[in-house]
Amino acid sequence: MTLILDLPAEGPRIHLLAIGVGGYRHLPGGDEEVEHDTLGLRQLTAPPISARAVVDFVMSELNHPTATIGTVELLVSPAQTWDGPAGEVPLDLPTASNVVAAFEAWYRRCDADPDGVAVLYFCGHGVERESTFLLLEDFGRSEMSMLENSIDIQGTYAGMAACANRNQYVFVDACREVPHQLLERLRGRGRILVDSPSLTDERSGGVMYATSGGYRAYGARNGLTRFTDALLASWRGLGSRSTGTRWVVDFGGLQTATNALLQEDPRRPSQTVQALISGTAILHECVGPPRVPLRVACLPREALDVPGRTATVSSLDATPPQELDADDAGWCGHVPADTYRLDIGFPTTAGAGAAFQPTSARITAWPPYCATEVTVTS
Amino acid sequence: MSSGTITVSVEADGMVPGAVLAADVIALATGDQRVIRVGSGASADIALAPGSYLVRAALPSGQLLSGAVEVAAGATREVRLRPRRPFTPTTKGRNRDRPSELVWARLWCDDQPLSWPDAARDIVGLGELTVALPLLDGADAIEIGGERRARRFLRLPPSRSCRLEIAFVDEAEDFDDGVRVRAWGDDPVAESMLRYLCSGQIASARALIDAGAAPSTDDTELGCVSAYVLARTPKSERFETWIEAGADAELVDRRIVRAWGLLRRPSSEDQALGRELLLSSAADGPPSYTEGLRLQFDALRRAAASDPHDDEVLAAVETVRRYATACDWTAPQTSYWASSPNEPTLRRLTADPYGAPPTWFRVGL
Repeated sequence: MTLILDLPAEGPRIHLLAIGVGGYRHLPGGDEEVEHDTLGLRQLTAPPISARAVVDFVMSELNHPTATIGTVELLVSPAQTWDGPAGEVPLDLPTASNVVAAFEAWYRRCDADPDGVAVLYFCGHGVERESTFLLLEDFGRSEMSMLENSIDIQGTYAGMAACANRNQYVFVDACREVPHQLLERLRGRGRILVDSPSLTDERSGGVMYATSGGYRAYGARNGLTRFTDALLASWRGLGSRSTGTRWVVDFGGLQTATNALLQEDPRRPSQTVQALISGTAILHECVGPPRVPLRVACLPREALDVPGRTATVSSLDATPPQELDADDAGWCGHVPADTYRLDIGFPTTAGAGAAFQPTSARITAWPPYCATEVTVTS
Repeated sequence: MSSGTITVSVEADGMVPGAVLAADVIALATGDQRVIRVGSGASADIALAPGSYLVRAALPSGQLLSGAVEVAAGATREVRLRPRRPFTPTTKGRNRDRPSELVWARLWCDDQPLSWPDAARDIVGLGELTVALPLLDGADAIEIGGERRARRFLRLPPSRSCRLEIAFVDEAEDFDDGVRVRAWGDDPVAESMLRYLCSGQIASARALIDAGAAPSTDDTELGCVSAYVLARTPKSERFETWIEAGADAELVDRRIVRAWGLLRRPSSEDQALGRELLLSSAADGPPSYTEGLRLQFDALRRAAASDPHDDEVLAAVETVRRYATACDWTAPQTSYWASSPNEPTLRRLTADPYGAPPTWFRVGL
C-alpha cells in the first residue's frame, strides 16, 4: 500500500506524493543485479530517510494558510513499513509500475481539488541527457533501453499543467549528471507520466531541483541528503519573510534559502538549487519568528584561545540573555529572528584573557542565517 | 516625515571586475523590502523612512553579505559589504595540480571556420587559461578540441568581445572528459545576472532587473539574459511587456523566450505566433545560452504534446533533441559535443579538424 494518510476535510487539502529510491534491484548489491554496466551507479541510503522526513514534516508541521493535510502517498526502497494508526503496513516499492499507479491516483486527487495543494517529492538517482530522468527501483534492467524504468520529470511537470489543481510544488532531489563517455549507453526514453493537451499554463508554485543541470546532489550516508536537509530547514522557517506581523514562506523564499544554506559552507562541494518559479502563493506560515542559525567569528583569532571567553546575545526587548556555544571560529547558536545586543567577555583575572577587552555589538539575526564577525581589542 | 539615507558600498576584493550585486534593504519592523543595485568597488544611496534596516546581498558563490543599520531622519548611514569569498563558485572539481596540456580552438561564423584574431591575448594560470578576444567580428561559436579532448562547440554571447575561459576539472569527476569552457561577453550586468541565474540565485538575478531600468529588449546579452530571468520567475507585467516589445527579435535566444511566453497565453493567435517563433528558432541553430536550449526543448515538447499530429513541430523536437542530448548542461553558454556546428554527436571525436587550421594553446602552467 502507498496511501498512508487520507483525511477528509471540508475545504482544500494538501496532497503529497513522496518517492524515495535507495534500493535498486538491478544495480550492484541489488536482489536482481545485472551483468551489464549500469552507469556505475550504486545503492543509496539517504533517499528513504529523506522521503520519510518530508512526509513527517508535511503531516505534522506544514501550516498552509488555506489547505489542511489531506492525503499522503509514500513509496520507498529498500522495502520498509509504515507505522500508522491501523498498525504496521508495508510500503510499496517505487518500481515503474507502482510509481505510475501512485502518480495517477495522486493526480486524480489533485485534479478533483482545484484549490488544494499538490506536492510531489522525489529522492534517488537521476541523470541528465536532453531532460532530467529520475531512476526508479527497477532501473537498469535492459541494456538496450536503459531508461525504460525512469521518469522524464521535465516532460511530466509540463504535462501537469493540465491538472485542475493550480498549486503545484515539485521537489527533485537527484543528481543531474552523466559522464560524457556513458551518454551513448543511456538508451531509450524516460516516461512522461502525463501529457498536457493544452499549452496554457496558469499554475502557481514551481519545480525545484536539488542541483543544476550536469551537477551532482549529495547526501550523508544513513542520513538526510544535503538538499532535503536544507529544504526542510527553509520550509520550517529559514525561507520565511516577515510581513510585520507574520512569518511566511513562499516558493521563491524557499528556493533562495535552500540554495543559501547549501552554499553556506565553502568547504563542501558546490551544489546549487535550480528552480522554475511560477507563483508567489504562501505555502507555510510559521508559528512565530523562525530560529535563525547564528555564527559569530572572532578577530583576531588569538582571542579564541582565551579560556573562559563568553558570548551572549540579548534581545533589545529585555528578554533574558542567551549564551552562545564556543566553536573553532568563534561562537554559534540559534536565536529567534530579531535584533540583538552581542556581548563578548573575557576573564578579568590575570592571564591570557586580560589581553582582550570585553566588546559589544549590535547584530541582526535574520533568516536564512546570520554570519557575522566581531573584532575585539587588546 | 523626513527620510534618511543608507549608502551601500561593496568592496572590490575578490570580485569579478564590473560585477554588480543586488542588495535587499529590509525594514525590520514591517518586513518591507526594497532592492538596490551596487557595483563592486562602488556605492549607491537609497532614501528611506527612519527605522531599523537590514541590508543583504548574496554573491553567486553563495556568500551572504549583510549589515544592519539604524536610520534617523535627515541622516546618512553607511553599510559596507565585504566579500570574503570569490564572486563566483569555482569551476566544478577544478584541478590546479594537473600537468599542462595542449588544446586547440577556432572560431566559427555562419558555419564557416574563421582565422584566429591577431589581437587575442591569452593568460595562462594554474590549470586554466583565459583568452581575451577583443573583437569577435561576427563569430558565433568557438570549437575546442585536443589530442585527448573530445571536440565541442560553444556558442558565443551576442557581444562585440568576449573572454574565453578553459579549465581542467578533476579526473575523479570525469563526466565530460575533464575540460570546461566558458565564454563571457562584455556586459558586466548581463554577466552578473547570468552568474546569479546559473548559481540558482534567481531572486538576486531578478532583483538586478527590478533595481535597474526596464529590461533591455534588444538583441544584446542583457536583452537575452534578462529575458531568461523573467521567464523563470512568476508571471509579471514586466515579462508581458517584454514579450510585446520583442517583435523585432532576430537572435534565436530572444525568439525562444518570446515563444515561451506567447505559448502560455490563452489566445490562439498568441499560441500560433509562439509556434512559428519556435519553429524558426529551431531551424536557425542552437541559442547562445544553455537556458535557452532548455526552454526551447521544453516548449517544443509541450507544443508536440498539445498536437501530436503537428509534423513540423515533431520534426523540430527531434532537431533540438540532438543538441540537447549532446549538451553540457553545466555550461552557461550552450556547449555541445559535435563534429561541426550543426552536427551534434555523442561520439567522442578527438582527431584534428578539417579545414581552417586551429590555434593551439597550452592550458595550465
